[in-house]
This record gives sequence, structure tokens and C-alpha cells, in this order.
Amino acid sequence: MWTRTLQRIQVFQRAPKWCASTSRLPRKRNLSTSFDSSKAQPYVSGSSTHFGYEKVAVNEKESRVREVFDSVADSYDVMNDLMSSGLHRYWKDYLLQISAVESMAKAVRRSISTDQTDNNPLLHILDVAGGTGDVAFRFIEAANCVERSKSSGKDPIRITVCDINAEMLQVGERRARAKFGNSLLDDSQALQFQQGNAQDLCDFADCSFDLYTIAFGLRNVTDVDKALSEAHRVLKPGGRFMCLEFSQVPNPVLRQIYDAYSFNAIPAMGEFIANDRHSYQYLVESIRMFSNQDELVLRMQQAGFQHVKYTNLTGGIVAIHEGWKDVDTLL
Amino acid sequence: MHRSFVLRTVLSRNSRRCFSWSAPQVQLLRASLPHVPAYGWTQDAVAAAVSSNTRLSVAATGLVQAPYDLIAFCMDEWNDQLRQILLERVNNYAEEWGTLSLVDRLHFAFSTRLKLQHEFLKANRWHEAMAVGARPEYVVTTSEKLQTMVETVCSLCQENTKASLNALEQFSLGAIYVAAELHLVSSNDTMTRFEDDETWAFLRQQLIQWDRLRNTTTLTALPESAATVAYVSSTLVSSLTSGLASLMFPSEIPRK
Repeated sequence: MWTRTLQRIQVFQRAPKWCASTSRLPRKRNLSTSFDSSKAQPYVSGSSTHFGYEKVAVNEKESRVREVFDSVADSYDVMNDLMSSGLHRYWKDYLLQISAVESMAKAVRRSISTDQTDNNPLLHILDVAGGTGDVAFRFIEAANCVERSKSSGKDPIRITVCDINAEMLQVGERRARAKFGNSLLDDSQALQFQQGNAQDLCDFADCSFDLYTIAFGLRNVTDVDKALSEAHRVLKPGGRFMCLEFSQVPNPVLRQIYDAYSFNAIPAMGEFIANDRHSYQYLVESIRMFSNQDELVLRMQQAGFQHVKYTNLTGGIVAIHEGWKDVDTLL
Repeated sequence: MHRSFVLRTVLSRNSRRCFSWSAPQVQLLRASLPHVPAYGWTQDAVAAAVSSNTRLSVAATGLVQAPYDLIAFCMDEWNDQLRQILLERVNNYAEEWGTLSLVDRLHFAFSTRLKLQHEFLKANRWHEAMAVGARPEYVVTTSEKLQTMVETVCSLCQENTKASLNALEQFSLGAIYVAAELHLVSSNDTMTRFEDDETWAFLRQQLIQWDRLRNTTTLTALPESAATVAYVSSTLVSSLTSGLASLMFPSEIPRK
């Protein structure tokens, strides 16, 4: 018993401690000013990778992430509100605004002829890691799909929500039926939920989507390079990739405050509200392990995206990265 | 719009917009401008341009951001076109150009620049662009583009034998241009909008007064920063006024 106690103390002493007064957080990623911009290292090399600050086998990470989201699925939306003080709604609204879905939908609906026989959607959006439907619902409303679902026939606009986690998808589908009714999913089929892995979207053909979005999901993927490569594959020429994700805060003062809040308040909230401290500890740690803004730009460029850029929101706490496929040759 | 403006200000979206475009963006902006009379300075105009290219996904719409990308691009294009027109006059019609007074040259330059806006004035869209240009996040860029235009005009219109126009003189010319633009936007005579419009007589009158003043009074050059502030103030005042004009004279083109 004493040996085991001693071992636990040693493990505890080795583990990094975080509190507001002592800044002993491991610096895992350089900020963009000191980033080597020549080439990004492969996201996964060797047999191990990171799961938060923990090192795990590559083939273990996916199941560990799945367990986290199985655990948080029911309280995910409430916790998002609490952790971000409601800011996540603003960030998603901004994503919607710059996605131009409303304008695209209007253009598509205007272009439809009365003898339209092609069943393929004219505007097809893929929302990856969008399980509970937060972003997809915004697209549905902006594209006026609810109104269209009152008419017969399939909607020429379709939003597909893809998530690796069946629990999250079930929550999303329940919310969709409660909010929009059944016709949106069953009749006009403007909204679909499909289980899938961002690293291997085998159920989707090449060049089948106009817009690919992933909000707060890319950092949970085991191999980000694979996910970006798949995103590039399934997008049509001229298609757009958009990623809303937590990022690195450049300002050192804001970063101190943000780190203190993240590592102290969020796990405690997870424990108090969702009775799950470890899952929220992982969520916080995974942010620090993810690529910074410039690294992700480089990865997107290496995956083949053009005109890649990012927009920092709220001092860089989150960033929206965007890129296009093959516009240079078509415009 | 108000809520999003407040949020943007409070939460400080800190990406600095840089209004320069890649070749594909220029192509898309150029293709979007003909749709502005129908759809306004909106993303709808861009989407309409993209829809006409069947090889391209409609998502390419997001390559440019309305309204200001469209407006800024327009201003840059017109500044370039004006420069080309004036250079042609100076180089290919040097003798005739040389016989014109400074007032005549400035009148030609400013009226040419105003006439480039004809299509959007006719569709009652230009006052919308002026109102957008006066927004806090764009007003400095708008003023810089106006300043570029005035500097071009001054450098190509000035008389060779005389000293260059100083900052204050350029500032006052900028104010005259903006006033003439406002006059044109506010003019409600749709039958004789351009050729016989009173704006040209108004412009000439202002230039004559300006020339008289500069020849009779010793003007000191303003510091550069003060000139910029003056431009900004002038643009703000005139654009705010044109915003009011847009309320008084709603567009007659049905909105889609």
C-alpha cells in the first residue's frame, strides 16, 4: 500500500500544475511569430500522439475522444454556453455571416428551372463534427429550408451533418425534429445526419460538396493532415473549407487570463454541472496541443487549399480558417 | 446590423483587412459589378456572378466580401481608368491640353471621374456605397482612395510652369469633388441626369472660386496628418449627408 501511495505522489509531482499565480503550463506550440514557415511537420509521426497532455498510442486516440464525447453529449450545449459565457453563439453567427450561405441559397433557388429533374442538390453543405447541429441549424435557417420544406419534393439545398459519435448525432436529430418538425428530414431532406470519420469520409464521393465546415472539431481528430486531405477531396472545384476552432492567443496578458480561466474554471464547471471533470480537462488541454493559426494555414496549403487565410475572434481565443479548392484555374 | 456592429466593436475582431486582391478575386469582383444595379452592394451580386460560371461551385461567392470589397474595387478601377484617360490627354493631345486653363483641366478630370459612376448613379446605388464608405471601419480607406484620386488629378492637371499644388490646395479640391458628387447623387432629374445636369455648372463654379482664392491669398501647407484628418472629416460629413439623401430619394429599381 505504501509503495502504491509513493508512486501516486511521484506521478503527481511529475504532472504539471496549473494555477493563476504560477505559470508552469508547458509551452507546447510556438506562437506564429517564431514559427518556421517552410513546411509543417506531419501531424502524426511514429506510433504515439497526444490526447490532451497525455501521450497515447495513435490507434487509441480515436476511441478516447469518442468516450469523451459520449460522456458529454447530453450536456454539451449547456456546457458550451457556460464555458464560453455565450460567446460560442457569436462565433458561430460570425461563421454563418462570412460563409455567405444566405446569398448562395438565394442564387441557387433563383436558378432552379421548373423542369428540374436532377436529384443532386445544387448547394450541398457538409458540417463535420457537427453532432448536435448548432452550426447546421443556422445554415438551415439562413437558406430558408424550413419554408421550402412545406412544399413537396426534395430541397435543392442540403446540409449533411457528419460526426464520428452516434450519441452526438442522436442529440442533434432529436433537436432538429423538435425545432423544425419532421418534414425537413423526411420529406424535403434538406437536413441529414450521417455517422462518419473526418479522416476517412468514404461514404462521400469526390467533389460532392460546395461548403465544408468543421466547428470545434478539428483539434479532436487524430491526424489533422488526413482530415484536411479528405476535406479537399470531397469539395467541388471552387468549394470552400471553413474551420472554426480554438487557437492561440497572441497577447501575453490575455493569454494568462485565458489560461487561468481554462485550466481552473472549466474543469471545475465540468465536475459540478456534468459530473465529468476529466472530459473537460481533456477539452481544455486539447486546445493547447492543437496547431496555432499559422501552422494550420500551412497544413491547409499542403492539403491543396488556395487563398488560405484566418480571422482571429476575441483576441485569438478562436480563429476561423478558410480556403478554397482549385479557384485559380477556374476563375 | 446594429447588434453585430456592437459585438464586433466590443469583442474586437482583430484581423486587419487589407484591400488588395489576387487575380481570381479581381476576376470575380469584375464579374460581380454588373449585378450591383439589380442586387445592390451585397453578397447576392457576387453569388449571381458565380452562378453564371457553371464550372465553379457557388461557394466561390465567399472569395470576396460585400459590400466593401465591391466598393473599394470600384474606386480603384475608376482611379486607374481616370489616370489612363488623363495620361492619354497629356501625352496624345499635349498641344490642346496645354491651351486649357487649370480650372478647365480640373473640371475635365473631376467630371470624367464622376461620369464613371454613371451606371450606379442611374440605378440609384451610389449613395448606398457612399454611406457604406463612411462607416468607421472603412472611412480611412475611403479617404485614402479619394486622396489618391485627387493626387493623380493634381499631378496630371497642374501647369508645368507653376509650383505643385500644396496639401491645403489638394484638400480643398477633394472637398469640391465630394461636394460635386453629393450634388450629383442628390439630383433628382432622371431625364437629363448627365449631359445637362446642373452638377457640371456647380463644379465649374466651385473650381473658379477655388482658383480665385488661391491666386489672391497666400496659403500655407498643412501638415500631412492634418490633411488626412481634413479628408476624413470631409468624407464623413458628405457621406453622412448622402446617407440622408438616400432616405429622401429611395431607389426606383425593384430590389430582388
